[in-house]
Amino acid sequence: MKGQFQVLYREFLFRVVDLEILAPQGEISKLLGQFAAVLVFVGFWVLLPAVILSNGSPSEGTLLLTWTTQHFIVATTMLVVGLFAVLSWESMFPDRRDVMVLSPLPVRERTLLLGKVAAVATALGITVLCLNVLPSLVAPFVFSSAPTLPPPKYDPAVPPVRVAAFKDVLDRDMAAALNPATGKLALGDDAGISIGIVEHGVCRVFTYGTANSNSIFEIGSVTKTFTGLLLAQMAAQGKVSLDEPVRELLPKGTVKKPTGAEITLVDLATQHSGLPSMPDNFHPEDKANPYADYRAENLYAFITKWGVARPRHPSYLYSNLGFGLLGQALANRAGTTYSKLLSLEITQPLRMDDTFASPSAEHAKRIIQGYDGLAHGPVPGWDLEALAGAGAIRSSAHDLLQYLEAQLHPEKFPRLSAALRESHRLQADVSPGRRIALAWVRDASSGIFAHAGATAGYTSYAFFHPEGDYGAVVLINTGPNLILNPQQLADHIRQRLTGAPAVSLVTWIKGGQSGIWGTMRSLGAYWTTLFAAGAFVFCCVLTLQGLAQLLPRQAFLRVSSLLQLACFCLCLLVYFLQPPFAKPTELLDNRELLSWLPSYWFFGLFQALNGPLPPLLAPLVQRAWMSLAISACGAAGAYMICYFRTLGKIAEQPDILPASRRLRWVPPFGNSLESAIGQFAVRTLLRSRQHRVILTFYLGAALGLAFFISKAPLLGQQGAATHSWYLVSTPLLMSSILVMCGAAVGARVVFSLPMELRANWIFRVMPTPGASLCVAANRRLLYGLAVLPAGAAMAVLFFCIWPWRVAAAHLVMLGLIGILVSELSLRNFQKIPFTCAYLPGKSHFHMAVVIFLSLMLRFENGAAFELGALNDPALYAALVAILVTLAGAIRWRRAVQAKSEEAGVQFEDEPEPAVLRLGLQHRDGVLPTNSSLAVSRVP
Amino acid sequence: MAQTAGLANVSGKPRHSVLELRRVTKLYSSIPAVSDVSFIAHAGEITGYLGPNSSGKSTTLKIIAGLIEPTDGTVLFGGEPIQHNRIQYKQRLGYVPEEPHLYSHLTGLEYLTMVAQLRGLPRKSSAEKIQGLLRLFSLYGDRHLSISSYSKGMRQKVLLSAALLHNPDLILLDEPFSGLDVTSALVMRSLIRELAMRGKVVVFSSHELETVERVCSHVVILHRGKIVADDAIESLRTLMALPTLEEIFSQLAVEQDTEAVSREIANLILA
Repeated sequence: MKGQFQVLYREFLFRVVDLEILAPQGEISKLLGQFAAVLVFVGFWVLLPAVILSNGSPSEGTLLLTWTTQHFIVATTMLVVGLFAVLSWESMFPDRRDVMVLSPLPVRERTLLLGKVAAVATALGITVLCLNVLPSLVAPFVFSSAPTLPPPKYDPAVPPVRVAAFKDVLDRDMAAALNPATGKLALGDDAGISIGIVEHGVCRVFTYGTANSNSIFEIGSVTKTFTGLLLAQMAAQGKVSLDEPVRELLPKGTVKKPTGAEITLVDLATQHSGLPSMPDNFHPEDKANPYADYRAENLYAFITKWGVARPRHPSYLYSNLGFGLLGQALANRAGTTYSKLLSLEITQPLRMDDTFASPSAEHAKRIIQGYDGLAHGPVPGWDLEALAGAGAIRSSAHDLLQYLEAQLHPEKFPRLSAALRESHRLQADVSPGRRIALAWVRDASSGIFAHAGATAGYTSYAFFHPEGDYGAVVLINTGPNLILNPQQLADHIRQRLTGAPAVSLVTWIKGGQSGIWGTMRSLGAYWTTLFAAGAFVFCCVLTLQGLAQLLPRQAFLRVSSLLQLACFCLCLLVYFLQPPFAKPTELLDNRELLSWLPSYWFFGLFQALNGPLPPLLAPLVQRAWMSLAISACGAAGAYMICYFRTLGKIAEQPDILPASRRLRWVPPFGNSLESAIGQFAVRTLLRSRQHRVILTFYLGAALGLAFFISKAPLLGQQGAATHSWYLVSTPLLMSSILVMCGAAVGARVVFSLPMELRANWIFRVMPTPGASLCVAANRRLLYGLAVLPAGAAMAVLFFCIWPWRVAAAHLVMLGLIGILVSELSLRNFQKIPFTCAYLPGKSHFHMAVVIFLSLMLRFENGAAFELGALNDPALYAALVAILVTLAGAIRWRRAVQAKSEEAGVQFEDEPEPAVLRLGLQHRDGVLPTNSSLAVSRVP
Repeated sequence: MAQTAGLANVSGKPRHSVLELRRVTKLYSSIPAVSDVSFIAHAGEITGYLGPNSSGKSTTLKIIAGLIEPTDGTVLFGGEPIQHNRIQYKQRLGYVPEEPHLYSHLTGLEYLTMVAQLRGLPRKSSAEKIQGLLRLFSLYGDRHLSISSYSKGMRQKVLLSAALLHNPDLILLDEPFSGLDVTSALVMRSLIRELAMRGKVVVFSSHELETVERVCSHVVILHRGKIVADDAIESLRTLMALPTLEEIFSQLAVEQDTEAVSREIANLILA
């Protein structure tokens, strides 16, 4: 029994990976060596910056670098395991061959299954181990001493502090947020903070760093509460009503009345309009001041396109666009600008002289310079045009205290009291425990109404507690960062006011724990995480296959190869599409998304095991453990299904698919020989799993890279300032060129993978006339299977998003590039596709990767050049002429070369082993002895 | 040197449809697989090519089909060495290999259509021919199934159809009866005769001596890569004074005492 298990285990282990897919007839050991070389190369470059920087002082930059490296390692391991799972698709469960070979032998099904499970598990372990063994020599040292982001500490509670006595407490607590070396704010030497607190009518302003009590800050999205109040005020005056359609406040003819429900003003003010976060025609000329050139025309153009239909059950979706539109609509109704409306209806009645949406010269002098959150360099202020209602306001702590006092005591401001009360009425849910009024969000547990704000160079936070009659505002002249954010400071103040333990203001980023213990812990965390991540991916694939086995066997066989391809694409796409984080704060912004990306769950797991767990990653860790448990159960279930259901059925039913729905008609490809080759190739591609997987690999990689380059705007809605789908831009040009090259090269590589070497004799006994016809057939094939489909797909895309002239010009260019690449790749290929051996060991795969990476840089130059040419007809014509000449020249050379080939079409035959070659006794498996060769007995 | 029982049969048939091998030798790393093989096959004549396993039959047929280059010697068809005009030669050749290796992802119909296209046959007439062949070989019902689901006999029929599609003058059949059921084998046997009667050169190798005896007018027996007999069956019988081909064959090409070997095997198992 044990012996049987061992034999089966060994047998299965060697067959786990379908090496035939990678290297039919090739030198597998050499190929694996090249893979290893590439992995080592990549691992080295990934870890190098982390090694260099790990010794520096803990800062946001090093923290980010460490996190990026850690996430990269986790994500790459998951990708490789995923690809490995796809390659070993057929050998994860006992297949027909196993059953047919083993069932006549006295082997229990249980032993068979156990052998399989053990082999699969070992192979998985080996994959993870091989991939990560080299980085593991360095990684623990780097990661144990790297900066971390521990959870917040709490200062001990003190009895509730009165506003008048707040200064001493705040001074003491703020000491933690100072740089001990310089005595200035740890945020940066130029950082300044204004804090305003109001309690029972008593107002105080405290300043730290470069700020003084007159400093004016950008308040960012706190502006939205003003826009909400404007709406309430105009409603109270009867100029608008809350449930009035926004369409009626836009210029006539901007947008048609939708058939169903339409977006109302209150929908906009409660973030329940279904409008996206940002409009898709937002293409700032000046990226440092991105909103300045987004004017009302642009906004209306977007609304015309998007429409104003209200989704049936809109959920909360934070939208700058929504509030921008609301502000513009209210200004339209009032017949003025947002800035003047604000002044007339709010800041004048509340006597907030330092609060404005467009600065006067006198005010401009008092605006404190803003600084970037990561690099800490000065950044220009933001001017908002059409989207002013979402974040245009600048103000001071004094003014905002007045504003908060009005919120706490509307009765003191009769002109606005009805509107203020209306603006606090809770309208809709945001998340469990949080409801939204007009812009203000109320948190049930603390009882406060609050809103945060951020621009490139400023962060802000304002809250008030109507029952407790207190409120505070925090203004910082530094963009979003992890060192000190205004909400943390505001929470601290609230906790001091109520006498609760207050969150410490100490800088969160800390140095790691070096030393033996820290290193050992890192090493343990490293391997645990990677094995857990690998097991998760693998078990998911197993579960999927297990579920598919519930289908009738015939349907399973049909679905199985599709599933395999789907898994493959999913692995590649998720890997390339998942948002990297350029700033740690992006983790916060994309929290919703991160909770759906497994690589981040296991990144969180690593953080949890490696050291103090950053609070923003805590929910991810739970997901990691849960997903691991679920996928492991799924995998166990899959094997149970296999044991109780599939094993018996495998032997009964043939593995052959019924022919019913197979594609029979394939278009002719020219003359009879070209048609024969073309149809053979199309059918092979359609029916051979191996060839499909390889082609998908190339296409998937090209598409993935293309998405990566074009910044995947679908995901980064927050960073809409950089999104450029509708713009004719270098990344998009580059992406499309990449996809075209990937399609052509992928098809060419697949052509050289043989289908069935032993059946090649049929071509060899055919009277095929010379190589030139074969080259012509291959050319047509490459055009028909790669260049045309890729071109057509991109034509659809580009004609949708670009003006037709530009799209057509680029498509011509793309077609020429496709032809050029096809011609280049047909070099030395006087062969019939799928009939010749491809020898990967000889193909210098590792060199190809290095060359490709360096070519990537050239691609960008090329794309930039093309971008110039698209705007300059003369240059464009010259470029087209050059490409046409080049393609023509190569084609001519190819033709000459093919004609000169006297041998005709090349073939490669399966190299037969020596014994078979002699044809001696091989059927009986008996080797001839030398003596029997020497003796020739003659009757 | 090999002793040949009987002499090469030279007759006055027209040159253009005679297959002649002249001292053909094939070495694999200096070990001969076929050595010094010469024989002539005439149109209208069925040449049986016999020999035990690994005697070099398939190698010879592959050399004739142009799949392997001989190390030495020449193959002539119609008096012309086959390498002079390969394409023309291949247009006149039909070959059924020993192992039924086919592109098994294609269906029977697709495979035959591909062969017809590769041969440049006119589309319409070849389509009709393929339909007819599929029907006559009773493959029509399965024409849309991929070859991977075909039995060995069905594959053999596909191979045979592919070899005959273009009305070849020279037909090489490497063990064409393997895997065929009784009916198909009978059809095959008469087909071979019929083709020879219509002036084709037919060379076929087989282990089924009874069939060979009934079908062939002329046999060539190979042993260890060398020809040990090349004559009409009748003259072999007379020459060797043996009543059946089987006995002639055992005399010439079987070097083991079969009964002794079988006794030893039984003893070994029972021990």
